[in-house]
Amino acid sequence: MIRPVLLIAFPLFFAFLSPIIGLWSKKWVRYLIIFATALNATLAGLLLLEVFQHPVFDIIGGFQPPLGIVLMVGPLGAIIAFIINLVAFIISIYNLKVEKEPIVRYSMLYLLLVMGSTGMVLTGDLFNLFVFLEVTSIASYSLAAYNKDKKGFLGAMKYVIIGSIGSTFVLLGITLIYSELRTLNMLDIAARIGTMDPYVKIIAFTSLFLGFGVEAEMFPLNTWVPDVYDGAPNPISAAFASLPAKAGIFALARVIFTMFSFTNFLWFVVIMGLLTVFFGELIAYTQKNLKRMLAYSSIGQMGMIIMGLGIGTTLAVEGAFYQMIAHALGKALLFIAAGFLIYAAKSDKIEDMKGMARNPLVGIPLLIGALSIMGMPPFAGFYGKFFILMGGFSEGYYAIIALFLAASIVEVAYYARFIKIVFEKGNRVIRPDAATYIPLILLAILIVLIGVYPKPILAVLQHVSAFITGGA
Amino acid sequence: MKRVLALTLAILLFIVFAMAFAKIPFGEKMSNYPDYYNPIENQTSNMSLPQHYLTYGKNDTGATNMVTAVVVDYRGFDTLGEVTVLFLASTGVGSLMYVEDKVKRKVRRSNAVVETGSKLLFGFIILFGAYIFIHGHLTPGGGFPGGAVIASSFLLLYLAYPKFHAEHKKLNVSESLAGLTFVIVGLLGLIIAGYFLYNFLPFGLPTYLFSAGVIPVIYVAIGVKVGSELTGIVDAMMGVRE
Repeated sequence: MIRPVLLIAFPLFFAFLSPIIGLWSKKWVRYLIIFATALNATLAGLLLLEVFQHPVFDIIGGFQPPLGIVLMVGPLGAIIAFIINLVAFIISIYNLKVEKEPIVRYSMLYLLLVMGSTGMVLTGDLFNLFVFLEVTSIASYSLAAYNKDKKGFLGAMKYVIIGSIGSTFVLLGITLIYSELRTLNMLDIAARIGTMDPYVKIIAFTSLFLGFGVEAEMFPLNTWVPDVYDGAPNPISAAFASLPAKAGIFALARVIFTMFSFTNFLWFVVIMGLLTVFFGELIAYTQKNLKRMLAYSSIGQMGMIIMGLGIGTTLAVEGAFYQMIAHALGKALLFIAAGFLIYAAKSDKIEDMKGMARNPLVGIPLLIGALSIMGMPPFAGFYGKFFILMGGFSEGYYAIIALFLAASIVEVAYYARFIKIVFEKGNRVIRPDAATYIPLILLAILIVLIGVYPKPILAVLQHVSAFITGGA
Repeated sequence: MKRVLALTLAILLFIVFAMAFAKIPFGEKMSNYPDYYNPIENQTSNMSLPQHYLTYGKNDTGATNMVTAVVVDYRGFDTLGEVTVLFLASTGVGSLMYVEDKVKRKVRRSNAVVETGSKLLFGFIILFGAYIFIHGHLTPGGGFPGGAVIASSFLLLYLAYPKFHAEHKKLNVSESLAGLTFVIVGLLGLIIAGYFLYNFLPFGLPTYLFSAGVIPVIYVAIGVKVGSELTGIVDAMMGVRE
């Protein structure tokens, strides 16, 4: 039997161990990180098989909740944790490309970023969620500035300011809930949320929603996103799109469904999602810098997920979760490819990258990733968008669906433009090295696999209806 | 315009939150608190969470200091997270302050009073810090304040001797070993009793030094860890001096 707490304890153990190993050999620290993330991905996979029947509760310290902390893992949490750790493992191979010192500290920060994101998904305690949010965001701040250039510092500084405000809001929300209910366990809160004063309840919900919205890249709290993605080292940009962002949006889902038990249409959430989609997609269309374009596109995709959660029908939430998985894989792939293209073109402008992706080792995965993000069948991204659309359609929200489709068309337009440029006949083609193309190919295989054979994912997503009604 | 907008937003936020906090009674009788509900066993208790901590805390954890009982035992997992946050902060500062070709900064000697005074005080401050975290389960204090006191003794040395340099490798090793101790204690609990961070050592007699099971062990680890981390942050911020 796999205990969920191992997914947090092992990375912590390896992170604390790595400075000691670093004294002896820096190279081995890098391999240790790959090993740790691989171990975590395996454990998360086994955990996923286990929680299929019923949710697993892991009581920490032997104190029954709500006295102590409990980890609460249902099928949905397990699959998001699995995807986070799988992508983290794949990116950790790409991490071998990072040359800048101090590499031991970089590796530790990366591993703790993975640990924090996993913890945010697994925990069943509201304050524990806040602690893991802090772990994730503080690791992100230092990694965002790791290049130590002007761009990196600018992005990281913005992130620190907005992130701290977000954390403060989360803490305020927790304070309000605790002072009324005197408990921090999510299911305990859910059971007694009705006894809260309605005004306090709304303020608490809004605080938590805005606080986790920072990590989930929600409008208007996402001004840090383009600067951070642009200034961070390439593997970290890839990791940001798939680890903390997904953990943040899952925390948002926990707040909406598990704790506050909203089941009907949430105007507030849908409008925020729509604004996020439009903000992201329209600005992405105007970008000339590749990483910034991907960052804005990431905002747009996160907005679609938020919309899916807000529409709140089983189908739409299934779509939101599918989109989370597809986006984690697709964006990680595109950012790794972007890292290669920037290295090959020695410039971050899209127009300088003519024909740089003509090497099949980069080109084919890049094409698969872009098509998946655009939502083309038979790739992973198709089902997510399709389910969100159908979820809205079946409930008759035609205006929202029309806006959603319009944003998708903008998305197709700028990705098509980007693809056209990088596959044009241009100057010489550069061959990528193994640390670049192995992660690309692994991610591409996963995207195709999930797109062509979605049955296992759909089987997990069947549990969405239980999740919406307040289950684990 | 920008300022007016910012001010309006601040006032609006203040009003919204003040109205929410106005609906919450402060310092009310603990018996008025709502009873807690155990979602796993599916049963409602007959007392509230704070009442349970105060009534059964000594029996459950063996600690006399109830704050410590909650911080290290009931919610020890959060503390492990907080320790990680500090570890991250120190690692982050270390990685951002790292420079390949070090520019040495010229510094002046401090005066004789500070130098002699710091020599005298250094040992006592360390002793006091160690006292605070070793007695964390008995008296007010614990690993975090104890570690901060220890770091302040090093800060004194930095002020008195401008060329003083704590050895980075040693700091890193003590930091890591302390962190590993915490995680290993947790994993031992998992192996011995089936719960991560389970208090598996005998509780002993409350109010005595050797009591409360693993709490003193964890607090000593936290004290060492916080002390070396804060010293490391001070050291990284000081840069290289000549």
